[in-house]
Amino acid sequence: MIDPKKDRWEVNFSIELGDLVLKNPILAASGTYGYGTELNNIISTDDFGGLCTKSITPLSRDGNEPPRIVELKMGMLNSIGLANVGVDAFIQEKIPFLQSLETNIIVNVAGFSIGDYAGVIQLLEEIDGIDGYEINVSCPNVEGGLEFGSSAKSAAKLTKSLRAETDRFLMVKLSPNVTDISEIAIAVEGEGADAVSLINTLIGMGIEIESEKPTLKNIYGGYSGPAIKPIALAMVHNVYNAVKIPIVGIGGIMNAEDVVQFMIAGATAVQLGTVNYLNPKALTEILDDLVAISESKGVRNISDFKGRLKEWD
Amino acid sequence: MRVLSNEKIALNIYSLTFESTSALLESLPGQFVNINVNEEDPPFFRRPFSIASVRDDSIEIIYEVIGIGTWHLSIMKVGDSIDIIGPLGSTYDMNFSESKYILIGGGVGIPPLMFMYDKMKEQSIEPQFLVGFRSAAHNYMPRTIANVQYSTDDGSLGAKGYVTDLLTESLINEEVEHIYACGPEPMLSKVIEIADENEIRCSVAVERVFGCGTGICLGCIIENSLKRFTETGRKYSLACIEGPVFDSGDINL
Repeated sequence: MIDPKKDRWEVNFSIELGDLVLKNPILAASGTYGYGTELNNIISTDDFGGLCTKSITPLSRDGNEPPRIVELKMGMLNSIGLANVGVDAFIQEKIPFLQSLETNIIVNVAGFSIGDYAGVIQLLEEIDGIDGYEINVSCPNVEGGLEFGSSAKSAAKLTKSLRAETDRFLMVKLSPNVTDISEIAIAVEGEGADAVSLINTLIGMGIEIESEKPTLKNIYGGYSGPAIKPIALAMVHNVYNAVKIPIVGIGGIMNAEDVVQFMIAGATAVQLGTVNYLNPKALTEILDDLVAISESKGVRNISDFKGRLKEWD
Repeated sequence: MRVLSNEKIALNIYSLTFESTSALLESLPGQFVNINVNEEDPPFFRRPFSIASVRDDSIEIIYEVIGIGTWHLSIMKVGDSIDIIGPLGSTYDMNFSESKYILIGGGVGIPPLMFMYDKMKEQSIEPQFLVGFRSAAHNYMPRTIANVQYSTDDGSLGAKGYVTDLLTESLINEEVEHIYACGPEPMLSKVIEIADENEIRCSVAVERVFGCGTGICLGCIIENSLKRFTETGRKYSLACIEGPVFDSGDINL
């Protein structure tokens, strides 16, 4: 009798992301896994290599008016508007549970001025059990109105200010809504970012013919889901050729094949986003299937997939 | 989970039962299951369905075929595997006294009230059940439910007109403790208005587009009433985990 368990291909899933060691290269993406508690009776959050929290701002936010979520054929649009409990309630109500988890906790930080971001990080620096920060630069700066992540100069300035606030792992989540994403990756690497994660959602819009209204009250929203995967792959590949710091790939990942493709393109790790809405057990399935793909490729260390992209003859 | 039955019970309306889990057997009225109706193709989101009954280790949902998602559901066969998350969401208040209760539902909003009726019967409570359909062809009320009053848009079954007219009539002669409602939003707004006028407690189950159904996407918001805003400091509640059942005084429909 063949015992498939006994004869299971052994894969070392652990990876290094800056100074962090992750038990596997799969993180939960910010805004798609709440504060870690919501799905805990469906899936063990500890099984993730890391958890990026909902974006945290200095004050609580109700977010945008409805409708703020729209279903599309191969994805969705959202304009939630950074709804969150605010940093004080986050520390009091959400941190104790996050501290109990046996996975890397990366707090996603958002704001509308450099002071907003710095203020959130200063408060979180006092708290144990936080392994790092992911900086959401897709927020408009009240001074000037442009998003921090829309230019290399403003992204660099923000990164420099936040690098001065913390020695913890600092990752900048890049926006794809720019002319040259690698220019911005280079700029934040130059100011001390430990990693970049990409891509955030693409700006999108829907229109309902009957009412002649936009499908979102906010008009524009963020497009996510499998439809954006080719765009994300291209950007990860582009940034991989431009920077030395590790890249965390995000964008429409639904299964293990997607994960391997992002790693071949140059990602050290990946984040699961929209799939958490559709299939909260995706992580378990992906980890299983990664073993099968690794076996078929003869791979023993998952990190060996990174940057293996071959050229055409 | 396996599909145990999937049968047409009225015009474009189906009853689907599937194997239960121990968690699902604990479901309560108002709660829902979120179903991945089609693995590969659209629709992208899961589809939420109120639980209509829990019997003999099987769970029943009742749905109307209105789009691609419910069409996929309608072609499922006995023995097919069905991907379900649940039970999810809040429930109707089940602390009954000796008083009189009204269940009022419209169209495919009636299933959670059918489940509520079962739970009331277990405690020997016989509520008054008011239901509204477009026509007699859409009626799927099981014969096992007694004390039902019907209304239809075309008068083909029961009174011609809105089910809320039946509610107004019922309240003329009866002292009612609590109204439980589910149905289209204009109907719910009218029910709440009538309940307020008569100072009767009212619970409504609402429907929103759910991106996840589990409280993480924050898409399915419903506006809080001034009272609830004052209590919580929040402008919105989530229909999926704080609802779908709300006390009518907590939300602005």
